[in-house]
Amino acid sequence: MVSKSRKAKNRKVPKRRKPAITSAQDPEKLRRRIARVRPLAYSGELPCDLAVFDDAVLSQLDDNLAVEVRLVQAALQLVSDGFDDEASNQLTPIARRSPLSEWRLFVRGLSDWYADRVDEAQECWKRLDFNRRPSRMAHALTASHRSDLDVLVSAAPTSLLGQQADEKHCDRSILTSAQLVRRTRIDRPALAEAIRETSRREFVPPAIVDQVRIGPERLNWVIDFSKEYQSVEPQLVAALQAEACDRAMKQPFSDLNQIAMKAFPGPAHDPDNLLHQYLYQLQFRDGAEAAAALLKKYLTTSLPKNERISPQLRAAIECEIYLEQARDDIDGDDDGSLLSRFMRKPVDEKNVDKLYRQALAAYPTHTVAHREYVDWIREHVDDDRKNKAERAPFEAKLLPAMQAWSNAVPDEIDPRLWLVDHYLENEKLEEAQPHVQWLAGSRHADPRVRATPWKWELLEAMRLCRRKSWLKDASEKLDAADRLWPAWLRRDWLPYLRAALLLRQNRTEEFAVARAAIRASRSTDEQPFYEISDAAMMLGAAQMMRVPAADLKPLRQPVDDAVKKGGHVSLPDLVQLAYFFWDLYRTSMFYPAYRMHGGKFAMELCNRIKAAKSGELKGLLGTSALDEAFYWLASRRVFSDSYEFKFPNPLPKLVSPLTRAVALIETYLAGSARQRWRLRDHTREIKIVREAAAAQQDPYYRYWFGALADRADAIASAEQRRFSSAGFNPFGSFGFNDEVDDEDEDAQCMCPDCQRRRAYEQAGLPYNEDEDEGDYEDDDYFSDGDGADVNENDQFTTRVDVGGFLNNNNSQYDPIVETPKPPSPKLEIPSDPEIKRKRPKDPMGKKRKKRKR
Amino acid sequence: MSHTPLDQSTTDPMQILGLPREASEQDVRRRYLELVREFPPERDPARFQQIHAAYKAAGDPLVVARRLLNYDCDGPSRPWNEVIQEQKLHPPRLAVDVLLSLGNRAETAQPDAIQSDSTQTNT
Repeated sequence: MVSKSRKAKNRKVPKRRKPAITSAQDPEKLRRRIARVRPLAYSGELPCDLAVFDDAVLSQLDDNLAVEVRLVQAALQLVSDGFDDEASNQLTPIARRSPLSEWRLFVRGLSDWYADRVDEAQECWKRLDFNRRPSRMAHALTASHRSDLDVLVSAAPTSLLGQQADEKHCDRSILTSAQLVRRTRIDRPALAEAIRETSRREFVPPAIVDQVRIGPERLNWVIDFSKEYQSVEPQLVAALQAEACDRAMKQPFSDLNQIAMKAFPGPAHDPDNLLHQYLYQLQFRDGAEAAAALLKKYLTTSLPKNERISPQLRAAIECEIYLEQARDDIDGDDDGSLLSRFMRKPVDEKNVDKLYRQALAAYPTHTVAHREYVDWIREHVDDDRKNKAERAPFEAKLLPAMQAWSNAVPDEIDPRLWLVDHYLENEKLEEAQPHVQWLAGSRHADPRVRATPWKWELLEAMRLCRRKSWLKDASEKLDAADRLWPAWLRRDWLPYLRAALLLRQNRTEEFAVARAAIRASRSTDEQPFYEISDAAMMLGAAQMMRVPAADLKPLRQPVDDAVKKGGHVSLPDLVQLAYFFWDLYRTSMFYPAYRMHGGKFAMELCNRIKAAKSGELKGLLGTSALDEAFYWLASRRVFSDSYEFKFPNPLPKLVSPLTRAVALIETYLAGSARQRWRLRDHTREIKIVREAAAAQQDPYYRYWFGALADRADAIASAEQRRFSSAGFNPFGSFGFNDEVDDEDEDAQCMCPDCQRRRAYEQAGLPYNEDEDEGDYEDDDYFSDGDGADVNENDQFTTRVDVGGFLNNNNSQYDPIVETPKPPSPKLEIPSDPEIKRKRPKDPMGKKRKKRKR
Repeated sequence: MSHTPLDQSTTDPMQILGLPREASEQDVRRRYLELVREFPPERDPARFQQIHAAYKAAGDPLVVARRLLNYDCDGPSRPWNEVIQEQKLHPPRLAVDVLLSLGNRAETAQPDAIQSDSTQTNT
């Protein structure tokens, strides 16, 4: 007697019928077939057709034919890679009478067929000879669209002789080939699998659901999918891999990111994913060392050998990397806050200089890099806080930097303008000459360029004053400068220059007359005489015309007195003085003493404006000099507290929005690189200046406003890009706040126990600490959206170290090598006491910086 | 290379060309040729100008380098569905070996086909 239970045990359980899988849906079958197929010769096939896939036959062909066969091979590869136009061009050397002209027709039709232009393809292919391989291939491709293909394949070969002309040659092997094309291009089982798998919800512990973009399960699926379908669907595989990498980059789980980076090839510019890993590491506070090593490896090993991108792009990438590093070094830890301003480390100027040089060596025609480098040098040259010895190394760098810029980018006018001034200053006329000629012949919109002949004559007049024997020619040059005087520049200084020349020529009586005439012309009933501006203009002219020190002393005295007793100078006089300095600034013609007192007058004027009564300022507002005075003050950076732009208090209500906007932009542009990033917060001001540029009557301001807006826009856009992306910016983060993490450590704890407890709490389930580790079998968490239990063997792979994922312990897991399967296939969150002990204080195992900009 | 439809409301050259950020130089050129064929200058000069300008900008190595290096670590991820739907529009091209194998002739089928062909030719 067999017991009921024994009966039940012995009873054969009927096997569950699997749903029928047609060949069209069987991806494995398709993969096997794709792997197996290769072109095979058939009897009677022409050697030139055979040679397309058989190198032995190719070597026996005569040279001309062999060349054409190689062209065909290259063209087929190009079409396969998607370069249809290049493929057609490749075959143009093949003559119509050549036996390989069939291939030319086929390739042309193939491009049309791939682009769904079936009629055009048919038009090409109908001229092919059926006894040749191209025709058979064309027939197979055409037949792949037939709805009755499966029926035809199963039918007898003789019945295949159809009524239509294009069907009569279809034998069984063509139809079988057509079936393969259909499976590959129309049925696409891989696509169906991808849709199915990606629409399935992946399990993610609830505590970290907001941070996970791709979990271990999905990542493993993409790895497996890639292996299986690489040969069939390379583009789909590449797209999924790219998306998986992108998601792994955007989440703070470094073990998953490491797996993705190792398993999937990177983009063309970074096939080893070194740059991606570098960008990823940069986001962690303790990742700087690893990031530096990765970047070094990328720049020295990977990038120079990368043939997949053009040499120009390689150079541009290298240049941009060095440039970003230089910017980051200059920025330092300055996040814009007051604290960081005082706490920041001094900039390693040698390293910044080296990085700029490396950037320019990699891509010498990079205008932005040249400009940034020169601006950085000038910032130090013009730094009033530095003494002469500290400025000297930067002054020595400026000339080579300008020369390199001018040589590499000949159309750039800024270095040429500077070089002309420099060479004339140092009596290197021969070197200045080509730049002067180029500028004079240029049709550049910058009025300073068109004024080059004027400046040349003026600087020549000043140079000729160096020696008594040359003095006789100086007045001639000054007359020439007078004739060429630019319309956009005031002529107020010209009488002073003439007077100074008289003094230099020791014609003191005539000088006294000239001075009296100047005073008389400047003192009218409408406006009072401005003592200090007059004195400064005379001093400046005398210094530029090389008046001897003895004669200079009485001229210097009133200016020095005014510097010492600034309070005695009237506000309108200071404004007139600023206007004069503004003219010097825009023509880059500073006299030596300007360095001594320019900054002091600027501060005095700024303080006087702050202290002035609004009535006093309103009286000045009608004069055009006030706006120019503001522009000069902005170039002296007096409206900045080395932190941000601050217009003196009564001014925002009194001056026009345009003046304020120009002053703001000029302040930031004249300021240090550390401040320029603030321009990204002033797009409104940039817009005001840009719009005003077109309305200006004065050609100088019409150009200058536009140029200001362009430069500010470029900086603002670059900063927007840097801010919106982690890029090379060390402040990039996943948005974690260290302070919150530290204060709320228990709530944020990511240890397996705490995660499990939180998962239970969120689901409203009682949490039992003694519960068997990882036994989630009865929980509802692992159900997908349809309510189906997804905690099955085939749903959860154990290949990714899930514990590592959760603890972010940077596991060295190699996804290619399978780890031994644990006894239970369920998702396990290990709570090994060893792991607990090693768990870092930071829940994510990394300290991250929070970007505050 | 997959691409999205043309976006005319932007100044980003890659968006104008309908290419993803990581598109290679070859992808840019290929897409440009496609678009030129689609919008020839004689038919739509304005659109052609826009496409040409975008191609010029996207082809500048410095622009490409900046685009490749500025990685948005906080940006949104594309839905998987979108990635796959994009691929759905572009069936895979056959590998050269697979393509050439389409012209194979089974030895059993060969005589029939050749015979029928030659018979027809003779008649």
